[in-house]
Amino acid sequence: MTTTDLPTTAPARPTGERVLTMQVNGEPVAALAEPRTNLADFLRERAGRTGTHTSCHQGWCGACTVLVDGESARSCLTLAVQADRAEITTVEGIEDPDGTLSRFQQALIDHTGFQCGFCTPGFVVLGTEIIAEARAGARFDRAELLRRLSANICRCTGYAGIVDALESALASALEDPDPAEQAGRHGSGEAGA
Amino acid sequence: MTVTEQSTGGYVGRSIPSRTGDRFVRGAGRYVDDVHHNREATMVVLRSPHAHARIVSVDTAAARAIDGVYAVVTGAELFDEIGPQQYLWDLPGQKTGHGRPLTVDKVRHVGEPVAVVVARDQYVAEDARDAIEVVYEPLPAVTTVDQALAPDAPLLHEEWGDNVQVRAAWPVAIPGLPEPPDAAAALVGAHTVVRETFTTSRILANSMETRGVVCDYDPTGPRLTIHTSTQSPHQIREGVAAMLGVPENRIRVIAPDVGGAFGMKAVLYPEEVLVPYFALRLRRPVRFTEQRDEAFVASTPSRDQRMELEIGFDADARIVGLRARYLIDLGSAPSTCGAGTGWATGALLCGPYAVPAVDIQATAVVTNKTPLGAYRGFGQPEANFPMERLLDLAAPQLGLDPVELRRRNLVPPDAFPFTTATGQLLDSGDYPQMLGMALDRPAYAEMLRERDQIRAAGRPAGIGVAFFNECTNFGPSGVFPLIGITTGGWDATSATVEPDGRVRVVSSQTPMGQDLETAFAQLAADRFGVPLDHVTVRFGDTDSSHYTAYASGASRAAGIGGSSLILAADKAVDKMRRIAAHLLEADPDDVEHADGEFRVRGAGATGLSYATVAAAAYQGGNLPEGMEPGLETLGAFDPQALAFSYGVVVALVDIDPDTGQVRVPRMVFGHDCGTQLNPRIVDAQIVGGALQGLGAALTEEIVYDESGQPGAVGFADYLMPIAPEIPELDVFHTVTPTPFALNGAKGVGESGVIAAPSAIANAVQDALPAGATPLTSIPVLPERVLAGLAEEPAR
Repeated sequence: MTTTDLPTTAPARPTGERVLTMQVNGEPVAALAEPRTNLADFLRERAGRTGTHTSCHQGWCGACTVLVDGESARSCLTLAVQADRAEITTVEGIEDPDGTLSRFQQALIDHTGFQCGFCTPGFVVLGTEIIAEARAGARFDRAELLRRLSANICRCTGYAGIVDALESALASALEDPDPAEQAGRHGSGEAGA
Repeated sequence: MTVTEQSTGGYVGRSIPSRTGDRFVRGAGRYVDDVHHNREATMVVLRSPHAHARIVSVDTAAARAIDGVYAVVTGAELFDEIGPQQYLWDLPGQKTGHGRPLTVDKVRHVGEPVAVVVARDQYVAEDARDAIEVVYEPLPAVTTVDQALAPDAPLLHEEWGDNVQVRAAWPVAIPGLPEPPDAAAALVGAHTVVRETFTTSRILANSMETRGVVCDYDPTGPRLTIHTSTQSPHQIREGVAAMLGVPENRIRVIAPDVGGAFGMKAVLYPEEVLVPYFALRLRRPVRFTEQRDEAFVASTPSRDQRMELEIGFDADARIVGLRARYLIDLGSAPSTCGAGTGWATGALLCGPYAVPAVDIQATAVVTNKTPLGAYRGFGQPEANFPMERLLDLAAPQLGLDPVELRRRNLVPPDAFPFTTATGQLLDSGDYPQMLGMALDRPAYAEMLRERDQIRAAGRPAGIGVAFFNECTNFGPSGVFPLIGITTGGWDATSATVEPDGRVRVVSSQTPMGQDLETAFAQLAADRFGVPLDHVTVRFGDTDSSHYTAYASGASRAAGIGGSSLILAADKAVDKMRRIAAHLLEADPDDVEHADGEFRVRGAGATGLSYATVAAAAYQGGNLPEGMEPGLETLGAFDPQALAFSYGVVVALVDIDPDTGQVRVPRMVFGHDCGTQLNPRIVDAQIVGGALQGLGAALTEEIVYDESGQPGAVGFADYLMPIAPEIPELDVFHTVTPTPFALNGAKGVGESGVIAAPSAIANAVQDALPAGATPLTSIPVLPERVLAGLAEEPAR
């Protein structure tokens, strides 16, 4: 990244703050960030998307998982400047624009794949990525699903409802592919779209 | 009032989907850290890096000079500004620390708050915190209970004279009642006596949302609005008011969505006072978000007990007496929770067993570690583990199967209500039936087959059983003073029928993942006889919910909160019946309430809808003589007695003989919590709790080194269960309603964690060579398993 990338309006500040621009859930966002500002803080505090949660700030728990150009990332370990000009999908961008829940979101409700709800956004994004991979041809047995879900920590549910929800959403996604979902909700973003 | 008088909506008892799911899966939950105010500043806390040290000097000049820093304050500067904290558990004779949010002359554990920075944002505040210069003079650290009790031990609180915070003993002689039976004599006369010392390690709740506080400032008065991640908004308001000298009616505390709590957020913390203090001082909103590394030293851990337990049996293997001596490692000073968990261990040590005589002595000791607090189970896992392990150790000596030994000693069904030797009243249940049902489960037969398959494949495998009961619906206000709690034990709900006839219920309970929003909507819809979607349930705001002292803890929401909801609903329905009678020109006794309508019994005519009656109530001009307008009622319920849920856990373990790693492929979990408001929620509590218990059994532990440094300050060092570790869990239920709640509900929140560790440890022992040295501590780590596997089988 060079200084020529800077918008002409960016103020020169001793903190190194500069304006970053991203597409967040299909909407343009431009806001100031210091080089040390992590993506989670940028999304929560500069872009007003508080659905992304931070819990451990060390990359272990996955609560802060978002999609950066279609691939899952720990937004607490990603600097906001690394995502400059990127397409970001947060938990708020998983549902249809008309508010219809994705299959996995609905399955989480049907199977009680949450209790306090704090880790839920990370699991929603992680599961969305897994389903997109399955649509692109990847196959998951239960052991592999459990391994993938071990990326994130839930302290309430004992995972049972989350695993059941993902298995059910995967099965239904593969049986009856929804063209809208397959194309990605905002024209891009989801892996395998 | 009985359950059968309920309206016939039939929502209670059904697995209605969660109302919270829609907002949670969309990322639309609203947690404390999502709350922002204009002009807000951020507070961070400088914490001690030493376990025990004298503070020689604190230099804040460099920190103050940083651009964007609004305040840098030390403990010495705050000592006269903020008063001492109160203690929810205030046991007779307990000693306390300085009780201030910041320490002054000395630090007593790694993580103790020393100074505070308030600045433009988290980043600047942390910069400034790093610029504070503190000179410490390290002191010898006390890191074990044995060191703490040694005659020449360094003292944490010099004015105490020793390191003992409080002692408690059972039985408690009550004037006017017969002398309690003599446990010493019973043990001397016993046919067989077994004795062992057990350790339950220090673990941490680790809710996924850390603690957080956001305080808005309004110059009128001034007034404070505090958003905080807590189980007990009213308790926080009381604490803040007392410590800051602000009247309670100028403080509004809101618990928004709470991202997990597990008891860890049940009581007041220093930051909940510091944030409003700085809001007042700076006349602007202030926020604090606990970071995960500080959560490991600043949020209260729990358990951490060592118990020497001795049980005597007669020739028929029936318990004749029990003696226990145990130590509670309380950390550096009592938290607001005091020694409550340690007290509960002794009071509930007999668990589900008929123990005629006890001699129990508890000693709470201070060490240079983070203060201990509540965590799911609250002293009961610490009681269950020694008891259930010792029964397994006793069984071969008595020539009995462990299941048969338990069967002989469980309180029999015809003995309820049963008073234990420590004075607890067990309300209801059929314990032996529960035990028998577990072994009749097809899943248990599967478990036996799988154990044999694992063994045939050359790996150690074993099965363990543990029984438990859980003290819930805590508790009768009349009893609280006797057990060191100064507040009341009742709870409240207000019910409003809005002008359009819809129902809004405001509970004084606080949801934190247990889905009260759904369960209470079911209860209210049934009681009002209206469709479920005509009811909304609100929580967590001291300005709209009625005062409650204890709020959500001790598995009391369904039974006590739920009963208060029933009282409020019945009052509202009764008022509507009288209004309807007036409008229909009928006798109120002739007006019946059914299907959301009020009609004259037997008249056949269409009745008056909720909306019609509510419109009259709010218009006010045509009401029965003397009736006040409006349709809002309050129900407050204080139970006559506690309610004891109970259950059995059977676990299968599969051990990797090379690494000592233990897997739990299967569990059978039988449970009874009386009336279930929503079976889906009950199951979710059991399943989630059982996995927390698995973590406590096998991987979770906060170890301190000899200098008092914690060995875990993040999820990398503290291994909570992850998805691949989940067992196949067979959950089954019986339903024995408690007579001491209007809806028959007993609590379920803590049941999952109480006996799961005991069952797993018993299963690991079963997998080790016959006669291997007894497992006496949890977690059972791989190195301990390998040592056990290396032992020669006894002949």
